[in-house]
Amino acid sequence: MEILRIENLTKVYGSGENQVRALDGVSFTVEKGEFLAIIGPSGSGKSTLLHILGGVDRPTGGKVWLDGQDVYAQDEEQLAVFRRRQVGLIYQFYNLIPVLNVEENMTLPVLMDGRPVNEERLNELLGILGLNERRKHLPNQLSGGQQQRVSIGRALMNAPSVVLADEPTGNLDSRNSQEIVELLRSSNVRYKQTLIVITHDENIALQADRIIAIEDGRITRDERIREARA
Amino acid sequence: MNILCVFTRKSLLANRTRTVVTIIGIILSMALITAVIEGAYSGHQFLIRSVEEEEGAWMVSETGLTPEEAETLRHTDGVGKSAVWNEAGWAMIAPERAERGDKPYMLVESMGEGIEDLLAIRLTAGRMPENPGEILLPSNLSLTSGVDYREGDTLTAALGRRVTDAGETVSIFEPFAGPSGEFEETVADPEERTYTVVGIYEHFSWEVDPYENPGFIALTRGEEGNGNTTVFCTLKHPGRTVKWLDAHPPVGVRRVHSDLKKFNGSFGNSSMTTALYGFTAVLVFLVAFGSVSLIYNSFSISVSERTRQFGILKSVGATKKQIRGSVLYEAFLLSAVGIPVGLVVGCAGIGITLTCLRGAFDSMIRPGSETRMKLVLHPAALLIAALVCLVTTLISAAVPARRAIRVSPIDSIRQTEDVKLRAKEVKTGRLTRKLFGFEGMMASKNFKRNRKRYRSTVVSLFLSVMLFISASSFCSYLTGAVTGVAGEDDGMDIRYYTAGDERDDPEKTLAMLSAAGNTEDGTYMDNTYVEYRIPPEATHPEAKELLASDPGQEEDFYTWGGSLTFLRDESFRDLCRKNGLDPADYFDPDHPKALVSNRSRIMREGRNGGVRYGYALTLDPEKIPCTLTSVAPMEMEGYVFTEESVSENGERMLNYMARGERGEAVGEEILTFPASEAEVVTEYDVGGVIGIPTYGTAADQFTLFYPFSMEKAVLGPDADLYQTNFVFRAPNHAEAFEDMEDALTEAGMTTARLWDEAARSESNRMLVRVVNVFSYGFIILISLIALANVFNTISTNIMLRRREFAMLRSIGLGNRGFRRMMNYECLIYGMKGLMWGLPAAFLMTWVIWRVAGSAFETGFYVPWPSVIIAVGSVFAVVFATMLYASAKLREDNTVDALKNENL
Repeated sequence: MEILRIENLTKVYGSGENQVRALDGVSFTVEKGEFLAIIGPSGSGKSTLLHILGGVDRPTGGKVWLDGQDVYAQDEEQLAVFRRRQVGLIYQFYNLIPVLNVEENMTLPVLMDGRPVNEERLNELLGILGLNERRKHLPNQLSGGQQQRVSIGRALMNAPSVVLADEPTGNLDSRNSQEIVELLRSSNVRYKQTLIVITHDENIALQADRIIAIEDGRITRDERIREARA
Repeated sequence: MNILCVFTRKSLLANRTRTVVTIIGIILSMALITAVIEGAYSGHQFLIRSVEEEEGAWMVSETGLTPEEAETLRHTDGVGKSAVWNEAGWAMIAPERAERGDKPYMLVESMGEGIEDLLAIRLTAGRMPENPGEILLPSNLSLTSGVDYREGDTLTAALGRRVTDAGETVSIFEPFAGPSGEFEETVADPEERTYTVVGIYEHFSWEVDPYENPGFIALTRGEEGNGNTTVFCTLKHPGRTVKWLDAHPPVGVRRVHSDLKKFNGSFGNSSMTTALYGFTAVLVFLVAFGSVSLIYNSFSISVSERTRQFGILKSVGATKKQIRGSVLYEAFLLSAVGIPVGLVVGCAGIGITLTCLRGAFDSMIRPGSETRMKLVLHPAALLIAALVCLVTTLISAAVPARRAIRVSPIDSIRQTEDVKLRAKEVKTGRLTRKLFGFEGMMASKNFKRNRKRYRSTVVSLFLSVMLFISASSFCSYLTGAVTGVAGEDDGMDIRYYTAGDERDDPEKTLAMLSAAGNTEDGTYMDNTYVEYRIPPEATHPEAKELLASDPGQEEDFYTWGGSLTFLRDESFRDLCRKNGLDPADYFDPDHPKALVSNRSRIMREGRNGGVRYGYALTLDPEKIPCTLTSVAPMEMEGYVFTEESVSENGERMLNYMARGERGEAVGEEILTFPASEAEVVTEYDVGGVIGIPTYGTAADQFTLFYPFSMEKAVLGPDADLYQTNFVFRAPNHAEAFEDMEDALTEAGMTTARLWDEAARSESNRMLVRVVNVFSYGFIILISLIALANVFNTISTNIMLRRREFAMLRSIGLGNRGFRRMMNYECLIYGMKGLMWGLPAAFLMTWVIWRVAGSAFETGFYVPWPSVIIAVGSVFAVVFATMLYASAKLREDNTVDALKNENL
């Protein structure tokens, strides 16, 4: 079942001489439960692509459908709700709120939605992420790996249609990196979670079901490594 | 609880310094607004209470009503409390005064219920009358009429109606017609009454007892009266007095309590009122501007700091509304703490100030008055102050929050808004690099790159400079205006004069009084008023301009009134020495020469038809020495000069009539002489100008000074100025006055000619002191606001650049280098702040000068000491704040700061 469709996506920064085409007519689709890795050198436009998929940036042209919904046909208000419910974003630099503790950071999207927290799911996630002992800690009391696990927890909390991770291990050592990748992988299997990861770490890319390579804003390769396990 | 509220509260707690400074800002703003509003309200109430105590609380009265008309008036819409008195009748009690055209009657009024609440009846002896047989007499009766009654005396008088010979009733507004008046008046239907005098009251002010009234008002109670009724009443809405008066035309003769009307907001159109309103408007503007900018700035900086966090919140699905809600919630939390505290601080501050100034306020009103200055709270005003502050805070919070909402989440997270630049924009001059090295160059680039962020600091500096200097100008011009309108203090505390034989040895009198009062600084003088004739070429342009519109001026000279003073020789020598002149020039009896105090206090027509006070020079200092003249009709034994006339052939004539016993003209015979023969011309050679206004009249009046010993030489051997004036300076005037009084009594001289001038001018001085205290309080508060403002912006700004500094340090910037970079940044801040602040401050000063100029003529000036203080403080505060912030930064571990994402 198709969960994400991207059509002819373009993104232009600046104007005139300084114009940069970060994305130049990108199109592809993603099946539900798929684990997709997007690779490419620095400045190839992969982060831009991910941000547009996550609804935190706006494309210059083209369309994005998530769950049959034209994402950028929505107004700001609907887009916020869309981000809150349908997308989980994981950044290289975690982007946690420093004044909120682990639990609050993880449940932020649910709480902002005004819904009650599913304690069962929270506890399960805390357990899987190994943060049970740390649930009342503030981000600056955690290691980098732990902080990234909190941001993964935040992304998964709402069981979104798609989880987008932007270099999730870029700031971590190899041991922590491996743990994070395993966590993502297992969420993909366990919750049939659709997962799109940007990376330039080949080891991570090779664990995906499918790899898309981007260069200068265009797809240069789209390769299925294995059938989706989810 | 809503997660965003949790987030907001935790953020506030996490940034304690910023939160505290913001709350302090709100407290200061609130305190200042409260203090201004409550202070003004308390002052206003004080004036109203003192008038009510002094003259009674009545606002409108009508005289000459029938009892029925009085009842109707008392029940008219809008009338509050009311009371009546009924005329019991007039009695001729001092016929000898009648011949002089003075008050000859006693007017007995019978007081109705509740009149004590509306009129100020102050007993000086005895008690209030309780029945028709008892009477209360006014204090001026025994003083001026020679009719002396004491408490317990019995008074018998024939009371009747005051009527013209045609039988028409005459009101208290008609002065006694007298024997030669337009009509003959009598007391009709007199009826003998006997009263017991039960007390004396301090007679009413002119508002109740008009000057024209030919009767002393005596009060009784319970008498029916002759039907002529007066109503005194208050209005339910004092602010709408004028409207009420227009809507209800008078039936009898109406009077309005003018002081109360004025204090209740129905002002006349005078230039002082214009100035007062102008000053208040400027004050309110300054306070509002300072407060709004402080609150606005602290929010603007906190939002840019939190833009990133808002970005994260948005990326996980926070809506615009939620972000806005969070910022407003923050504003609300801060207000919830700041406003109540500010309210209390403001009330306490102004309350303490007013209490401390009580003595000063007391001396502004009648001595012995029971009205005391106190803080009167006006709940509605407090509520308005709180609302103003809350709305300011909310708006200040909401406006910068829009920025955080506008940009896309990813831009917020990256904070890319601030760093769109081209290399050209951050180009730095070579000079900078040379003077301040690499670090200076970095600082300069920082400044250019991040103009937006720096703007808040520069703006807060600019506002601080402008507020401080404007506030100083405001206070300076206000003090000037108050002094100017009240007149300058001549510094003379005690005054005495001798006449007749006592004048023979002024030195002896001076020595006696100086010794008694323990004062060294005393002198004496003879003086008189002279219409000087000044040759046009010696007249100063300022005087010419003033005289241009005077139709009475002649062609070949200008006439200018002033004082002619013969000053004690020793004091005269002092005066010469103080002004760098040689005293010897002035003591030649063959050629006596005068010193001139060249300044006159004048009144000009103001812009709004009111009066403006100012000063003008009379003689052109370039044309001194010069000669002035004056003319006077010659003295003629047994005759007195009456008037000038013009003969048939156009010649000016002087008329004389026979001299009566008291110097009045008597008889029918008129002697006429041509002016050229009968006029005595006196010449005055002016030898020098003195700069310092001194010795009484000279402070305000054009004055010629001669040595005392030159009097006969100037005026001629027969001249007599009738009295010699003594003046003394005495720091403790009240004590000196008493001692001098004793000494005079001992020497068998009268004490009636001794005056405590200082006590009289005390109230003016106190007014200036009150203005000064308020001014300084205001400047201090405004400065605190400005200080908080600058501290808040700069320290937050530095904290925001933690990572940047850590990066620079990681590539080898040492502490010294860091300091140099900071110093250069401070310099840029200071210069930019002053570049905008000083011109704006001068502009405000100009506006204030214009406002002050509507009541008081004053040259435009800039308060330079304040400007210097402002410039010094700007750099001091900027550097101190930088030091504080960078000291905090130094505690940072470089790597942690680099890694730390939670900033």
